[in-house]
Amino acid sequence: MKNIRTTWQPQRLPAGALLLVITVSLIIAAILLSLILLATNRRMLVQRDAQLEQLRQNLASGLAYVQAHPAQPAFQSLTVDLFGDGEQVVQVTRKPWGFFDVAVIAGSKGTFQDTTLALLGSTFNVVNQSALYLTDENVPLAVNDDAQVRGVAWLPKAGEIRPASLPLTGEHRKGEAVVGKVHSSGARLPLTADSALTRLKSYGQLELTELLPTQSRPVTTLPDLAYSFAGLPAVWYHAKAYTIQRALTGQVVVISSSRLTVEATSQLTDVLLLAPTIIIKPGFRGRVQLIARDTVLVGADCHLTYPSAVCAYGAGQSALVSLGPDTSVQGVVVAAAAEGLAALIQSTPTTMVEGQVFTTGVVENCGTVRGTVTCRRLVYRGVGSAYENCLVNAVLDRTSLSARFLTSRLLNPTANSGVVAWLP
Amino acid sequence: MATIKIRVRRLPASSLLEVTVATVILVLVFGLAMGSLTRLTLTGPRQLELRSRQLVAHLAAETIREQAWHVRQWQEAGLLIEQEVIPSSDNQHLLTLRLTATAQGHRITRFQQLIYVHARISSP
Repeated sequence: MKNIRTTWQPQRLPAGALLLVITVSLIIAAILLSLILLATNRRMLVQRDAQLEQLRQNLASGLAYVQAHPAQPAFQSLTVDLFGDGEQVVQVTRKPWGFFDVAVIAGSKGTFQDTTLALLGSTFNVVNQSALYLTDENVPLAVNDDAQVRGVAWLPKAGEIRPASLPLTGEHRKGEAVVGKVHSSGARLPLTADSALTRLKSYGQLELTELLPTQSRPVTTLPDLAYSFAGLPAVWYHAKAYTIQRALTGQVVVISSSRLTVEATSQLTDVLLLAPTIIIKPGFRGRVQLIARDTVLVGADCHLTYPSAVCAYGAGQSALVSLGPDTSVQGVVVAAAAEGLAALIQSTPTTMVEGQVFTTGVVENCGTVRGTVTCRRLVYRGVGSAYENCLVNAVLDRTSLSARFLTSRLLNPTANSGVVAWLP
Repeated sequence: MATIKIRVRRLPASSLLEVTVATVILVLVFGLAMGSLTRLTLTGPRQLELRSRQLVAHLAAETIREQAWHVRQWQEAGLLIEQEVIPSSDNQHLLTLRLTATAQGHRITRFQQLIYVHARISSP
């Protein structure tokens, strides 16, 4: 038998083995490191997302707080502990901006800071959910065959709705003169110019101490401007008549003690114009609030988009708002004057207003209104003659206004608040 | 022009022991890295937490859209969801909507927001 002896001889492996092991280990280490970095990064992103989400919820809560407290003093920044635990805290500020209010909500979470800016308006009061409120001055409403009221109407008790029997200037209507419930109106308007509209009076009289912060930034020249609503407003004042030919955006107030004229080439967004007289040249397009002491003239083919406002408030003189043919306004149109003074909204059959029309006086030649009209009298002025409480070639249609349409709280003081627009 | 000369020398042949040591080091590095990775992923926001956060945000949005201000409790996706509606004591248009997701008795996520409501609500 052959004696087999097995002895283990340490054998040298080829040099490449160690090199291979080291290379493979380095590759695996690199892959693992990248996985660790990926996991860490993901965790940080998720945490960041959670913080941002919490911040957004806090800002939404802050907005709800501002909406629920309409009497919050203007320009006073309040620190609100949202849930009483001292952890979720936001700063809320309310400031007037023409017909609306601006809500500024600032908050922080971890290393993040954010601000929400919203333009606040309101829903419609019960009375303003009608197509027409015409005060009772013992003159019945006459509706021509080319005119129609669609929606609830508050009309004088003096008589039934009468046909106007004037020559047709528009299309023959389909259906009744008033399609909707008819109520008897009162001798007074549901809203008096002296109480609810005091803010407009102050704007009209250029008494701005309570409507603009004392630290407002005066602007000596008027270049193209874009100001966020988060900070202070830029205020440009000119004692003489001035013509605007600029691109202005955001929290910019343009004031003249004489007259402001807006050229069609101007680009105005969210801007506030204040002057005794404001003239908008034909063809203008923009989103702007115009508040005049006595006269606003909007030329033909102008389009003021939502939320815009056109207002003349005469505290010591009559007020006139004139809307040209083929012009449209989405928002609010107001002509108001103190008791005993005339207020007039002049329109044309091709003028279109979407929103709320309010005057303490007369609406003349009412065009198409998708919304609500509140006035003392309606006048149709033809060639050489005028007819009182007469609707000719006009459509007042409350039913086609979106249920989500929001208007100004000044005209609806008891209505609920809502966000009209998100601001830059 | 300067030239760089690299002298390449063959490595000496390795012993089996050296290769074994290198392999053990490799396994240790691998194990350590996997341990760290597992620790990082497990102590961070877990899948359940992420899922519950999404679910609660979705439920809150639904509740706000439908204005369904009810106090209720139900099971969904393996979580116990508790919805609380707390009217503000000083404002009739303000309430706190709180949604809490719990799993096996532990709170996973909480959604909390003040809501402005049009209809007046009664104080508690």
